[in-house]
Amino acid sequence: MGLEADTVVACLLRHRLRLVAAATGIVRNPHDADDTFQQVVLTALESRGQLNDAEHLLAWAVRAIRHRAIDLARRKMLGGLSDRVLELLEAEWGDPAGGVPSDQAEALWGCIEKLTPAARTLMKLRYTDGMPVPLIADHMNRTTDAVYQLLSRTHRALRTCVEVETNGAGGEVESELKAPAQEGQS
Amino acid sequence: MNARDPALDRLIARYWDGTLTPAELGTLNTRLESDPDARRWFREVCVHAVAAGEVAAPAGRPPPSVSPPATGRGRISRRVAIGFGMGVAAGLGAGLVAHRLWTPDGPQASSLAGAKVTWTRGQVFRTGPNGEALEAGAVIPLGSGLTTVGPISSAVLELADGSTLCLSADTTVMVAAKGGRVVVNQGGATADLRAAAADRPQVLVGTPQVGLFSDGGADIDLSSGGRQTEVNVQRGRVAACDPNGVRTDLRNGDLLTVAADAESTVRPAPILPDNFVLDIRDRLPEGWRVGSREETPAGPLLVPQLWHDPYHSAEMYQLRSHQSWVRGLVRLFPDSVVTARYRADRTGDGQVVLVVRRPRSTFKDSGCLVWESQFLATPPGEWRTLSVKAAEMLENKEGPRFAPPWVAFLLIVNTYTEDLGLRLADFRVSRPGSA
Repeated sequence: MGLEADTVVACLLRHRLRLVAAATGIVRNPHDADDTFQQVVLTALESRGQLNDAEHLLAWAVRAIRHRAIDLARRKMLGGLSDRVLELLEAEWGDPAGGVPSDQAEALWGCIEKLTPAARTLMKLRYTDGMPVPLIADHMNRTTDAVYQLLSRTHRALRTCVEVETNGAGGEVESELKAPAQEGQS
Repeated sequence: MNARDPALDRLIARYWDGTLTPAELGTLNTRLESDPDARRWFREVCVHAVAAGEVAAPAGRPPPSVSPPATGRGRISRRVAIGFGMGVAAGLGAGLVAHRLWTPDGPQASSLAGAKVTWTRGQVFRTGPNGEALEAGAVIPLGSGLTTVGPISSAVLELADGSTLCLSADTTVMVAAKGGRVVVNQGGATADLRAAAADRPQVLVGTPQVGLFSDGGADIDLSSGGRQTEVNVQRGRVAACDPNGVRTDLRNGDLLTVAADAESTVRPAPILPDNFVLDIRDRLPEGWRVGSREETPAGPLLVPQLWHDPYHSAEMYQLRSHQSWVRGLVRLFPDSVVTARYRADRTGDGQVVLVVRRPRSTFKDSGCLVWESQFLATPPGEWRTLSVKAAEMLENKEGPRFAPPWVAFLLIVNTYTEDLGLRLADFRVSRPGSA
C-alpha cells in the first residue's frame, strides 16, 4: 500500500499555496516557508509508503509543515503562537474543503496583479523583501499608522476581489482595489 | 469578517514583524483561539503574503534611491521556479565553484569590476592610510577595500554578480585584486547572495578562512575576528570552502564556526539568551579588540587600553569586545538590566555602550544603548556596582530606532582621554523573570 511518487507530488502541488501559507504563519517569511515546503515534499516522497491516500497525505503534510516551521521559528528566536492556536490552525489548513482560497490561487494572483502600483509595491516590500512596517513607512515617506492602514485595506481588497472572481459575488471590486492605491499615492 | 478590525490587523502585522510584547502576543492568541473569523482572516493574510511574493513587482516603478538589503531581492518567482529537484541539487555545483575560486591556485575571474557602494551611514572610508570618505555611488576598485568606523556606521555594497553585502560597525572588507572574491577581513556582515547565473560573473564572499557560494541564492551572516570565522545561513543553501579546498555544505539555520586551528564545526544556530555574563575566566573571547586581561588574587580583570579611536579621532582608554554580529551577545528588552562591577583610582567621565541590531540581521539598522556618567573613585580593596536598565540607555543620539528586542553585538567601555585606573571585574546583562 502507499502512494505513487507522482500522486504525492501532484497532491502537494495542488495544496502548495495553503501549505506554504501554513508555514508562513509561523516563520513569517514566505521564502523560509517555501524552503520548509520543499523539505516536506522530499520527506513525503521518502515516506510515501506509509501514506494511505490524498487526504491522509494532506493532513500529514500540514503537521510536518507545522513542526518544521516551529523549529525554524525557534532557531530564529521568533515569539510564537500558542499551541492551542497552532492546533486550531492546523485543523483548518488540513481541511480539504477549508474556506481559505488556497485552491483559488489563480484568482488571487490575478487580483494582486490588479492592485495599483502603490499597493503592489507595498505588498512587495512587505512580503517579498521582508521589510517591517516601520521601515516601509520610512521607504514610502509615510507614517507607520498610514502603512498599517494601507496594508489592512489592501488585504481586504484582495479578499473581496477573490470572492468576486470565484463566486461572482459583490460588485465593488474596483473601488476596493483603488482605495489603497489612492491612499498610497497621497 | 468583512468589517474592518484595525486592532486585529495591527496585531497580525506586528506579530509578523516580531514586535509584539508578551502581553500583546497573549491578546492575539486569545483572539485567534476564540474567534474562527479571526483565524480565517489570519490564514488569508498568510495566503496573500505567499501569493504576493510570487507576482512580479509592478512594471515601470523606478528603483528606490536607497536600496535596503532586502531579503528577497532579485529572487526568481517561486511560482515559476517550482521544482522539487532544485532544492536537492543546490550545493552540488556550488562546492565545485567555491573550490575553484577560493583555493589559492584556482583560476580567477579577472574581468570583474569592483563593488559599488549603494548606501552608507556614519563614517565609511576607503581602506589605507589616507582613506577618503565614501558615499553612496562610490566604486571600490579591485584590490581596494572599505572600512566602517564607529558603532553605528554601516554600508551596503553591491557586488559584480548583483549580490549585496551589508557591513556592520567596525568592519573591513577587501575586493580581491584579481576579482571574483570579496573578503570580510574584520567585523561582521550580512550578505544576500544572488543565485548563480550563466550570464553573470561569479563572486565569492567570505573571510580569510572560508569562501561561500550559493547556487540558488542565500541570506547569510558572517563575521571575522581574530582568527575565527562564523557563518550563519538564514535562508538557502551554501557551500563553504576553506583555502585547502575542504568543502562544507550548509543550509538555513546552520551555524559554521571555523576556529583558529582551522577546525570547523556545524550546528544549529543557538537561541540567543536574555542573560549574559562576559566570561574572562580563562582568557579573553576570540577576536577581542581593545583592552587586556589581568590575573589578580581577586580574579581576572579587564583593563582598558589606550588606542586611537577613529570614530572620535582621538586616543582613548577603552575596552572593546569582539564583534559578535552573527550570533549576538545577548538579547535585550527595556527591562533588561546591565550590570558592571568595577573599581577606579580616580573619578571621571565614562560610558558603557552596547551596540545593538535587530533580531533579524538582514535589516541594516543598528543603534547604541548608552550609559553615560562617571566612574567613581573606589577605596582600595572595594568594588562598585553600576546597574542600569536598558530602557534608561535609549536616550542618546545613536539610540536604536527600532523596537525591542535589541541584539547586542559589541560592548564598548570608554573613559575617553583620561586613564582612571579603571578595572572591570564583571559584566553581565540579565532580564528579570528569564531563566
